[in-house]
Amino acid sequence: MFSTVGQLPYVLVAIMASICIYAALFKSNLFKKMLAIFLMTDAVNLLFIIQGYRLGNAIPPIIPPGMDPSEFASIAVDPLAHYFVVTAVVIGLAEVATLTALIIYTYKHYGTIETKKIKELRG
Amino acid sequence: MKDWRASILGVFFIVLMSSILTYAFLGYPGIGFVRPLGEFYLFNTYNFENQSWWSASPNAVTGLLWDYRGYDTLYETMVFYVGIAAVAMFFEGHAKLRKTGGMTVIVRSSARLIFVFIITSAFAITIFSIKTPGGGFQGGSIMAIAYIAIIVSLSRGFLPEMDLDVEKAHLAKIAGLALIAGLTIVPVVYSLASGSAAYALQNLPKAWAPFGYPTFLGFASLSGGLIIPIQLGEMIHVGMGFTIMFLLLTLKDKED
Repeated sequence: MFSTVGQLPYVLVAIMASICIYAALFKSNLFKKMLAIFLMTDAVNLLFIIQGYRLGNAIPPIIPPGMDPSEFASIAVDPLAHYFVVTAVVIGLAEVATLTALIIYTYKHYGTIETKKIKELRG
Repeated sequence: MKDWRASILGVFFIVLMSSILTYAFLGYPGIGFVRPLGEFYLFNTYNFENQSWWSASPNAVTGLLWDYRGYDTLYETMVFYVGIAAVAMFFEGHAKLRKTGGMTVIVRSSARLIFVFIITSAFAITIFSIKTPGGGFQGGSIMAIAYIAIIVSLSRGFLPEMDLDVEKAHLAKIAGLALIAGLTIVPVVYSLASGSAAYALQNLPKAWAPFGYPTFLGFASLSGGLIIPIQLGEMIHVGMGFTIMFLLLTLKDKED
Protein backbone atom coordinates (compact mmCIF):
# COMPACT_ATOMS: atom_id res chain seq x y z
CA MET A 1 0.00 0.00 0.00
CA PHE A 2 2.82 2.41 0.87
CA SER A 3 5.82 2.79 -1.39
CA THR A 4 8.09 3.96 1.43
CA VAL A 5 8.09 3.82 5.23
CA GLY A 6 8.17 7.62 5.06
CA GLN A 7 4.53 7.67 4.00
CA LEU A 8 3.28 5.92 7.15
CA PRO A 9 2.99 9.11 9.26
CA TYR A 10 0.30 10.24 6.81
CA VAL A 11 -1.99 7.59 8.28
CA LEU A 12 -1.63 9.25 11.69
CA VAL A 13 -2.60 12.59 10.18
CA ALA A 14 -5.56 10.96 8.38
CA ILE A 15 -6.86 9.40 11.63
CA MET A 16 -6.40 12.63 13.59
CA ALA A 17 -8.14 14.70 10.91
CA SER A 18 -10.99 12.15 10.65
CA ILE A 19 -11.66 12.21 14.40
CA CYS A 20 -11.72 16.02 14.27
CA ILE A 21 -14.09 16.08 11.26
CA TYR A 22 -16.39 13.67 13.10
CA ALA A 23 -16.39 15.80 16.25
CA ALA A 24 -16.89 19.04 14.32
CA LEU A 25 -19.86 17.59 12.44
CA PHE A 26 -21.63 15.44 15.00
CA LYS A 27 -20.87 16.75 18.51
CA SER A 28 -23.63 18.99 19.80
CA ASN A 29 -21.46 20.94 22.25
CA LEU A 30 -20.19 24.12 20.56
CA PHE A 31 -16.99 24.15 22.62
CA LYS A 32 -16.18 20.59 21.51
CA LYS A 33 -16.84 21.61 17.91
CA MET A 34 -14.41 24.51 18.30
CA LEU A 35 -11.75 22.26 19.83
CA ALA A 36 -12.20 19.81 16.95
CA ILE A 37 -11.72 22.59 14.39
CA PHE A 38 -8.62 23.81 16.22
CA LEU A 39 -7.16 20.27 16.38
CA MET A 40 -7.98 19.80 12.69
CA THR A 41 -5.68 22.74 11.88
CA ASP A 42 -3.03 20.99 13.99
CA ALA A 43 -3.49 17.83 11.91
CA VAL A 44 -2.93 19.89 8.76
CA ASN A 45 0.13 21.51 10.36
CA LEU A 46 1.46 18.05 11.16
CA LEU A 47 0.95 17.13 7.52
CA PHE A 48 3.07 20.12 6.46
CA ILE A 49 5.85 19.24 8.90
CA ILE A 50 5.88 15.59 7.80
CA GLN A 51 6.10 16.66 4.17
CA GLY A 52 8.98 19.03 4.81
CA TYR A 53 11.03 16.67 6.97
CA ARG A 54 14.14 14.78 5.89
CA LEU A 55 15.21 11.42 7.24
CA GLY A 56 18.78 10.88 8.44
CA ASN A 57 21.09 13.68 9.52
CA ALA A 58 18.64 16.52 8.87
CA ILE A 59 19.36 19.94 10.35
CA PRO A 60 16.95 22.85 11.09
CA PRO A 61 16.56 25.48 8.35
CA ILE A 62 19.12 27.82 9.98
CA ILE A 63 22.45 27.88 8.19
CA PRO A 64 25.35 27.16 10.58
CA PRO A 65 28.29 29.63 10.35
CA GLY A 66 30.71 28.72 7.58
CA MET A 67 28.54 26.05 5.93
CA ASP A 68 28.36 26.07 2.15
CA PRO A 69 24.84 27.00 0.92
CA SER A 70 24.76 23.97 -1.45
CA GLU A 71 25.50 21.58 1.41
CA PHE A 72 22.94 23.37 3.61
CA ALA A 73 20.28 23.06 0.88
CA SER A 74 20.93 19.33 0.63
CA ILE A 75 20.61 18.48 4.34
CA ALA A 76 18.25 21.07 5.94
CA VAL A 77 14.52 20.43 6.36
CA ASP A 78 12.07 22.30 4.12
CA PRO A 79 11.61 25.88 5.47
CA LEU A 80 8.44 26.33 3.44
CA ALA A 81 6.61 23.79 5.64
CA HIS A 82 7.72 25.61 8.79
CA TYR A 83 6.67 28.92 7.28
CA PHE A 84 3.18 27.65 6.47
CA VAL A 85 2.79 26.25 9.98
CA VAL A 86 3.75 29.59 11.58
CA THR A 87 1.17 31.46 9.49
CA ALA A 88 -1.44 28.74 10.00
CA VAL A 89 -1.00 28.90 13.78
CA VAL A 90 -1.63 32.67 13.79
CA ILE A 91 -4.71 32.32 11.61
CA GLY A 92 -5.87 29.36 13.75
CA LEU A 93 -5.62 31.44 16.90
CA ALA A 94 -7.55 34.32 15.34
CA GLU A 95 -10.20 31.76 14.38
CA VAL A 96 -10.31 30.33 17.91
CA ALA A 97 -10.59 33.82 19.41
CA THR A 98 -13.57 34.64 17.20
CA LEU A 99 -15.25 31.29 17.83
CA THR A 100 -14.72 31.58 21.60
CA ALA A 101 -16.33 35.03 21.56
CA LEU A 102 -19.26 33.63 19.57
CA ILE A 103 -19.66 30.72 22.00
CA ILE A 104 -19.60 33.04 25.04
CA TYR A 105 -22.16 35.25 23.31
CA THR A 106 -24.33 32.22 22.50
CA TYR A 107 -24.16 31.07 26.13
CA LYS A 108 -25.16 34.50 27.39
CA HIS A 109 -28.06 34.64 24.93
CA TYR A 110 -29.44 31.08 25.21
CA GLY A 111 -28.01 29.89 28.55
CA THR A 112 -26.53 26.79 26.86
CA ILE A 113 -23.96 25.85 24.24
CA GLU A 114 -25.65 22.55 23.27
CA THR A 115 -26.94 22.88 19.70
CA LYS A 116 -29.74 20.36 20.37
CA LYS A 117 -31.09 22.47 23.25
CA ILE A 118 -30.75 25.67 21.23
CA LYS A 119 -32.82 24.08 18.43
CA GLU A 120 -35.53 23.19 20.96
CA LEU A 121 -35.55 26.76 22.24
CA ARG A 122 -36.18 28.05 18.73
CA GLY A 123 -39.42 26.06 18.43
CA MET B 1 -29.39 1.40 22.60
CA LYS B 2 -29.40 4.66 20.69
CA ASP B 3 -25.97 5.67 22.12
CA TRP B 4 -24.54 2.26 21.17
CA ARG B 5 -25.69 2.72 17.57
CA ALA B 6 -24.31 6.25 17.47
CA SER B 7 -20.91 4.99 18.69
CA ILE B 8 -20.79 2.30 15.98
CA LEU B 9 -21.74 4.85 13.33
CA GLY B 10 -19.10 7.24 14.69
CA VAL B 11 -16.35 4.61 14.50
CA PHE B 12 -17.52 3.66 10.98
CA PHE B 13 -17.40 7.33 9.93
CA ILE B 14 -13.86 7.79 11.34
CA VAL B 15 -12.56 4.59 9.66
CA LEU B 16 -14.15 5.57 6.33
CA MET B 17 -12.84 9.13 6.52
CA SER B 18 -9.34 7.95 7.53
CA SER B 19 -9.28 5.55 4.56
CA ILE B 20 -10.34 8.29 2.12
CA LEU B 21 -7.73 10.73 3.49
CA THR B 22 -4.99 8.06 3.52
CA TYR B 23 -5.83 7.22 -0.10
CA ALA B 24 -5.59 10.94 -0.95
CA PHE B 25 -2.22 11.21 0.81
CA LEU B 26 -0.78 8.27 -1.18
CA GLY B 27 0.05 10.64 -4.01
CA TYR B 28 2.27 12.68 -1.69
CA PRO B 29 6.01 12.06 -1.69
CA GLY B 30 7.37 10.27 1.40
CA ILE B 31 9.48 11.88 4.10
CA GLY B 32 12.91 12.91 2.83
CA PHE B 33 11.82 14.74 -0.28
CA VAL B 34 12.30 18.51 -0.15
CA ARG B 35 10.67 20.36 -3.01
CA PRO B 36 12.85 22.39 -5.43
CA LEU B 37 11.20 25.60 -4.15
CA GLY B 38 12.23 24.75 -0.56
CA GLU B 39 15.77 24.02 -1.76
CA PHE B 40 15.81 27.37 -3.60
CA TYR B 41 15.06 29.19 -0.33
CA LEU B 42 17.62 27.14 1.60
CA PHE B 43 20.31 27.74 -1.02
CA ASN B 44 19.72 31.48 -1.35
CA THR B 45 18.61 32.73 2.07
CA TYR B 46 22.15 33.49 3.26
CA ASN B 47 24.20 33.12 0.10
CA PHE B 48 26.76 35.95 -0.08
CA GLU B 49 27.75 34.95 -3.60
CA ASN B 50 24.25 35.41 -4.99
CA GLN B 51 22.98 38.55 -3.27
CA SER B 52 20.29 39.16 -5.90
CA TRP B 53 18.19 36.49 -4.24
CA TRP B 54 19.35 36.41 -0.64
CA SER B 55 17.31 37.57 2.36
CA ALA B 56 20.33 38.28 4.64
CA SER B 57 18.80 35.98 7.24
CA PRO B 58 20.58 32.75 8.25
CA ASN B 59 17.18 31.51 9.49
CA ALA B 60 15.43 30.52 6.27
CA VAL B 61 11.97 30.56 7.91
CA THR B 62 12.39 34.19 9.02
CA GLY B 63 13.67 35.06 5.54
CA LEU B 64 10.55 33.47 4.08
CA LEU B 65 8.26 35.27 6.52
CA TRP B 66 9.22 38.85 5.70
CA ASP B 67 11.23 38.64 2.50
CA TYR B 68 10.36 35.90 0.03
CA ARG B 69 6.72 35.57 1.09
CA GLY B 70 6.21 38.90 2.84
CA TYR B 71 2.76 39.49 1.37
CA ASP B 72 1.47 36.20 2.80
CA THR B 73 2.66 37.24 6.25
CA LEU B 74 1.16 40.70 5.81
CA TYR B 75 -2.27 39.24 5.02
CA GLU B 76 -1.92 36.76 7.89
CA THR B 77 -1.26 39.73 10.19
CA MET B 78 -4.45 41.33 8.86
CA VAL B 79 -6.41 38.14 9.56
CA PHE B 80 -5.15 38.22 13.14
CA TYR B 81 -6.16 41.90 13.39
CA VAL B 82 -9.66 41.11 12.15
CA GLY B 83 -9.93 38.17 14.59
CA ILE B 84 -9.11 40.40 17.57
CA ALA B 85 -11.40 43.14 16.18
CA ALA B 86 -14.24 40.58 16.10
CA VAL B 87 -13.64 39.68 19.76
CA ALA B 88 -13.49 43.38 20.68
CA MET B 89 -16.74 43.98 18.78
CA PHE B 90 -18.55 41.45 21.00
CA PHE B 91 -17.26 42.77 24.31
CA GLU B 92 -16.27 46.38 23.73
CA GLY B 93 -17.61 48.84 26.25
CA HIS B 94 -17.78 46.19 28.97
CA ALA B 95 -14.10 46.04 29.87
CA LYS B 96 -13.93 47.95 33.13
CA LEU B 97 -10.72 46.86 34.76
CA ARG B 98 -11.59 46.44 38.42
CA LYS B 99 -8.90 45.88 40.98
CA THR B 100 -9.37 42.90 43.26
CA GLY B 101 -7.11 41.25 45.80
CA GLY B 102 -5.29 38.92 43.44
CA MET B 103 -3.28 35.96 44.72
CA THR B 104 -0.97 35.69 47.73
CA VAL B 105 1.89 38.15 48.37
CA ILE B 106 4.48 35.57 47.26
CA VAL B 107 2.74 35.00 43.90
CA ARG B 108 2.18 38.72 43.34
CA SER B 109 5.83 39.59 44.11
CA SER B 110 7.08 36.75 41.88
CA ALA B 111 4.80 37.85 39.05
CA ARG B 112 6.19 41.39 39.19
CA LEU B 113 9.72 40.01 39.10
CA ILE B 114 9.23 37.52 36.27
CA PHE B 115 7.26 40.08 34.23
CA VAL B 116 10.54 41.85 33.40
CA PHE B 117 12.27 38.59 32.49
CA ILE B 118 9.43 37.43 30.25
CA ILE B 119 9.28 40.75 28.39
CA THR B 120 13.08 40.66 27.94
CA SER B 121 12.94 37.14 26.53
CA ALA B 122 10.10 38.20 24.19
CA PHE B 123 12.31 40.97 22.77
CA ALA B 124 15.31 38.60 22.53
CA ILE B 125 13.32 35.94 20.68
CA THR B 126 12.01 38.58 18.28
CA ILE B 127 15.28 40.43 17.64
CA PHE B 128 17.46 37.33 17.25
CA SER B 129 14.93 35.57 15.04
CA ILE B 130 17.15 35.98 12.00
CA LYS B 131 19.80 33.76 13.61
CA THR B 132 17.80 31.52 15.94
CA PRO B 133 14.28 30.04 15.99
CA GLY B 134 11.65 32.64 16.85
CA GLY B 135 10.01 35.69 15.39
CA GLY B 136 7.46 38.42 15.92
CA PHE B 137 4.56 36.06 16.49
CA GLN B 138 6.47 33.91 18.96
CA GLY B 139 7.81 37.01 20.76
CA GLY B 140 4.31 38.53 20.84
CA SER B 141 2.85 35.35 22.33
CA ILE B 142 5.51 35.42 25.06
CA MET B 143 4.86 39.12 25.66
CA ALA B 144 1.16 38.34 26.16
CA ILE B 145 2.11 35.64 28.68
CA ALA B 146 3.83 38.34 30.79
CA TYR B 147 0.63 40.42 30.90
CA ILE B 148 -1.53 37.35 31.49
CA ALA B 149 0.71 36.42 34.46
CA ILE B 150 0.07 39.92 35.87
CA ILE B 151 -3.69 39.67 35.23
CA VAL B 152 -3.96 36.25 36.87
CA SER B 153 -1.80 36.96 39.90
CA LEU B 154 -2.50 40.65 40.56
CA SER B 155 -5.97 41.03 38.95
CA ARG B 156 -6.79 42.85 35.76
CA GLY B 157 -7.30 46.08 37.72
CA PHE B 158 -3.53 46.24 38.22
CA LEU B 159 -2.95 46.89 34.50
CA PRO B 160 -3.99 50.58 34.62
CA GLU B 161 -1.27 51.04 37.27
CA MET B 162 1.15 49.77 34.61
CA ASP B 163 -0.33 52.35 32.23
CA LEU B 164 -2.19 49.74 30.22
CA ASP B 165 -5.90 49.27 29.64
CA VAL B 166 -7.91 47.86 26.73
CA GLU B 167 -7.90 51.18 24.88
CA LYS B 168 -4.15 51.67 25.24
CA ALA B 169 -3.54 48.04 24.25
CA HIS B 170 -5.61 48.69 21.10
CA LEU B 171 -3.48 51.78 20.38
CA ALA B 172 -0.24 49.84 20.90
CA LYS B 173 -1.56 47.07 18.63
CA ILE B 174 -2.36 49.61 15.93
CA ALA B 175 1.09 51.22 16.42
CA GLY B 176 2.69 47.81 15.75
CA LEU B 177 0.57 47.45 12.64
CA ALA B 178 1.46 51.02 11.58
CA LEU B 179 5.17 50.17 11.88
CA ILE B 180 4.63 47.18 9.57
CA ALA B 181 2.59 49.32 7.14
CA GLY B 182 5.22 52.10 7.20
CA LEU B 183 8.06 49.70 6.40
CA THR B 184 5.91 48.23 3.62
CA ILE B 185 5.25 51.60 2.01
CA VAL B 186 8.78 53.11 2.34
CA PRO B 187 10.06 51.44 -0.91
CA VAL B 188 7.03 52.76 -2.82
CA VAL B 189 7.70 56.31 -1.56
CA TYR B 190 11.37 55.89 -2.52
CA SER B 191 10.31 54.71 -5.97
CA LEU B 192 8.04 57.71 -6.48
CA ALA B 193 10.71 60.13 -5.26
CA SER B 194 13.69 58.69 -7.14
CA GLY B 195 11.95 57.43 -10.26
CA SER B 196 13.66 54.03 -9.96
CA ALA B 197 11.83 50.74 -9.51
CA ALA B 198 10.96 49.58 -5.98
CA TYR B 199 8.15 47.41 -4.69
CA ALA B 200 5.95 47.47 -1.60
CA LEU B 201 7.53 45.33 1.13
CA GLN B 202 10.79 45.09 -0.83
CA ASN B 203 13.54 44.15 1.58
CA LEU B 204 16.88 44.00 -0.26
CA PRO B 205 18.09 45.46 -3.58
CA LYS B 206 17.64 43.54 -6.82
CA ALA B 207 19.39 44.14 -10.16
CA TRP B 208 16.28 45.87 -11.55
CA ALA B 209 15.11 47.53 -8.29
CA PRO B 210 17.95 49.21 -6.36
CA PHE B 211 16.05 50.01 -3.14
CA GLY B 212 17.12 48.05 -0.08
CA TYR B 213 17.15 48.28 3.69
CA PRO B 214 20.64 48.03 5.29
CA THR B 215 21.69 44.42 5.85
CA PHE B 216 24.27 45.27 8.49
CA LEU B 217 23.96 47.77 11.31
CA GLY B 218 26.75 50.21 12.18
CA PHE B 219 28.41 47.80 14.57
CA ALA B 220 28.63 45.07 11.90
CA SER B 221 25.72 43.12 13.33
CA LEU B 222 23.37 41.42 10.92
CA SER B 223 19.98 43.15 10.63
CA GLY B 224 18.37 41.20 7.77
CA GLY B 225 17.18 44.46 6.16
CA LEU B 226 13.68 45.24 7.36
CA ILE B 227 13.24 41.91 9.13
CA ILE B 228 14.13 42.97 12.70
CA PRO B 229 12.04 46.21 12.81
CA ILE B 230 9.08 44.55 11.11
CA GLN B 231 9.31 41.61 13.52
CA LEU B 232 9.20 44.10 16.41
CA GLY B 233 6.02 45.58 14.93
CA GLU B 234 4.55 42.08 14.65
CA MET B 235 5.55 41.32 18.25
CA ILE B 236 3.75 44.40 19.60
CA HIS B 237 0.71 43.71 17.40
CA VAL B 238 0.40 40.07 18.44
CA GLY B 239 1.34 40.64 22.11
CA MET B 240 -1.23 43.39 22.59
CA GLY B 241 -3.80 41.45 20.53
CA PHE B 242 -3.55 38.43 22.81
CA THR B 243 -3.65 40.62 25.92
CA ILE B 244 -6.87 42.29 24.70
CA MET B 245 -8.32 38.90 23.80
CA PHE B 246 -7.54 37.48 27.25
CA LEU B 247 -8.89 40.55 29.02
CA LEU B 248 -12.17 40.51 27.09
CA LEU B 249 -12.80 36.76 27.01
CA THR B 250 -12.27 36.33 30.75
CA LEU B 251 -14.70 39.05 31.84
CA LYS B 252 -17.08 37.78 34.45
CA ASP B 253 -20.81 38.40 34.09
CA LYS B 254 -20.89 40.87 36.97
CA GLU B 255 -18.22 42.95 35.24
CA ASP B 256 -20.22 43.17 31.98
